[in-house]
Amino acid sequence: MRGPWQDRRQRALLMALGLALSATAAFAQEPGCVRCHGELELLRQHVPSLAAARALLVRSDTLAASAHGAMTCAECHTGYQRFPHPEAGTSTAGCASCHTAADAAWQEGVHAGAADGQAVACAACHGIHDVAPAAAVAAASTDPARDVVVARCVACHSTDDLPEGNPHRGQVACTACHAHHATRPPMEPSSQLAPAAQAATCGACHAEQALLWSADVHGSGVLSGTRAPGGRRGAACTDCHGAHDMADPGERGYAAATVDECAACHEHGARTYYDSYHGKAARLGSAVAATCAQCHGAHGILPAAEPASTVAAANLVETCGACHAHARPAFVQYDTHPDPFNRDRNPYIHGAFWFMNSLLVFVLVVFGAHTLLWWIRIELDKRRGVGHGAHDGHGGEAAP
Amino acid sequence: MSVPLDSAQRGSGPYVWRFNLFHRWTHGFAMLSFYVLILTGLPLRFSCAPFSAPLVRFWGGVERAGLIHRWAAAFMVAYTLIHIVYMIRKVWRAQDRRRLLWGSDSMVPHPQDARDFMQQFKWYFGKGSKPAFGRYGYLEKLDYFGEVWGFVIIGGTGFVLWFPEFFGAWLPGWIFNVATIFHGYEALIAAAFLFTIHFFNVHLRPDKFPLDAVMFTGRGTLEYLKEEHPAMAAELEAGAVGPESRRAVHDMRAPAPSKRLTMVGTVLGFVAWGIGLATIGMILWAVFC
Repeated sequence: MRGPWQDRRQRALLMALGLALSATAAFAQEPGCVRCHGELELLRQHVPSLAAARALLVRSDTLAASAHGAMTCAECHTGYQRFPHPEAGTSTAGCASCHTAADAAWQEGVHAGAADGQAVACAACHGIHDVAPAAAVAAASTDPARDVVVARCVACHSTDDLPEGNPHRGQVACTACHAHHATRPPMEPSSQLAPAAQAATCGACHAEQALLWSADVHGSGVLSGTRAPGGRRGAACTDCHGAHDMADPGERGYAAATVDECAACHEHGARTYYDSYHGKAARLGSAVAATCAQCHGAHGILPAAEPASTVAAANLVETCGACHAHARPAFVQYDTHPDPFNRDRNPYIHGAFWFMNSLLVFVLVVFGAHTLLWWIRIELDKRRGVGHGAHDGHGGEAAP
Repeated sequence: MSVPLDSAQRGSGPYVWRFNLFHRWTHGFAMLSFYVLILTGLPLRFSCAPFSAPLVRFWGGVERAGLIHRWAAAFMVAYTLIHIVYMIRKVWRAQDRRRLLWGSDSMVPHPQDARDFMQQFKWYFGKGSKPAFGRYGYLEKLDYFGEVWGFVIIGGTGFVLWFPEFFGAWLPGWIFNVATIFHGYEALIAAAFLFTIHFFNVHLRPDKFPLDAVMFTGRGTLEYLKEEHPAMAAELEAGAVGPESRRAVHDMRAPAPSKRLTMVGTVLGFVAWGIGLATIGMILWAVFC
């Protein structure tokens, strides 16, 4: 029976013969290269270690299935057509020799290593001989290649893998949001995740929301560069939705959680909201209590002074009526952000608040004193031996 | 001899009826509904407090807690209506209506109550003797009319908040903001009053500690009565006639409470003030959130 050993020796012998016969013949087609570079055992005989042999190994089907499947080895590896490979005159072309635009973009991004000297080159993401088709690498959410992309990014950015609950997990590759060649830190002005650029980046899929946002109180501020009185810019997509920690709006509890996102800037609005029934019930997990977005909208938020605003006086019956079917003009005078300290906002709320606080203090002071003094009286009498009736059973003498 | 836990059973003398079954059941219903109302309402009042979310989970969610709150309120309205009917019938059928309303057995506030209140403070400072309360002193009247006031304020505003779309059709919407303030603060006053002042007055005072179960057993010793309600005890010993019937007051002599009833009253009392003091703890905790 012929074992692999004999087989290999025989083949090596045949190959040596063949090579000798065609020592000067070019074999640019893969079968010629793969004859050696497709055989690990053969390569091992020519290089000092198994690791070095593995580095030279190229499976014939690997290249065929790649984006470069129609290319020959020599188109990148010039000068290697001859065997033995000559000492001089050989070179391996860089990706940039063809992909000039991608290279130019990459040079601008963090992965070129200009800042830290640690370049992350093409092969780190694209692979070498198994180079993936560009479209697959870019984003296509239905392509299995997106998993490859995520895996390659996460190999370095391990802490940034999308957590469970993020609706983009398993749906959208890193490169759908982060520029794939000109990758920049998200909040840099040149990044496609910079606040003003998010409408285009997220809007590539979420066009309707991006359009509404561009005209609303948040988006118009971001796009025009105007700032709120506190110096804050308007909120962009990720300010409310988060980025990697994004949650699914369809999830239970999402609406209540968004209040905290709004509260990050609208501190007073959130505090007074939590003083209302809506806020209290929502905080305790009510699925029906209105949160910020139910009244103010989410992507088309306008100040109450604007006639088109959901919270403009003329639109309140309709806005409140979404939940309160029998809302009337009188009904919508409910103050959803009551501020009892602000007399001008509503004197009745202000008055009720101070009246009830005064009553509380009055009752507690008068009867607190009544109680405390009673206690002291009993203790004093006990010390002086004056009884509080034999029935107390605590050592007091019976009253005469 | 060991001292009974129930301060109404301490001392000598025959037992005397203080509260009939109707009073006792009404008080029991009041306790039950008040505890359910306060423990379902408190998490909403202090939604930011750390105990609120677990308490709401205990009730089965915030909507369920709201539903239980409304059922407890309906229960409270029901026994209050029965109580009102009882009171009307009692006044209507009284043999001596004048004495029922204005006599020393009366539940109605009298000028004497104001004098007793002042006298009590004089006594605190050693400038007089302790006021001699009748069947109902100003503290009992305050407990009773405090609940009447609380029932009207909390019940009225609660009803408005229960049916916002009905009331919102003809009342301005800020009425719900005002109702929320009245409802929440009045409940806070009620809880603070009952769980500190009422508890101290009836249970935790050093001469009554750890509890007074007279509201559960309905009776106390004559000696207890002499200490707590001396004017009533004096009339009783003088053989005066009661306001409700021509029976002499000394016919109010009661059999000693059974061991079982005493046990029930004691356990009920301890559970009640345990939950009550825990609630006060929760309120104080919530103030810091």
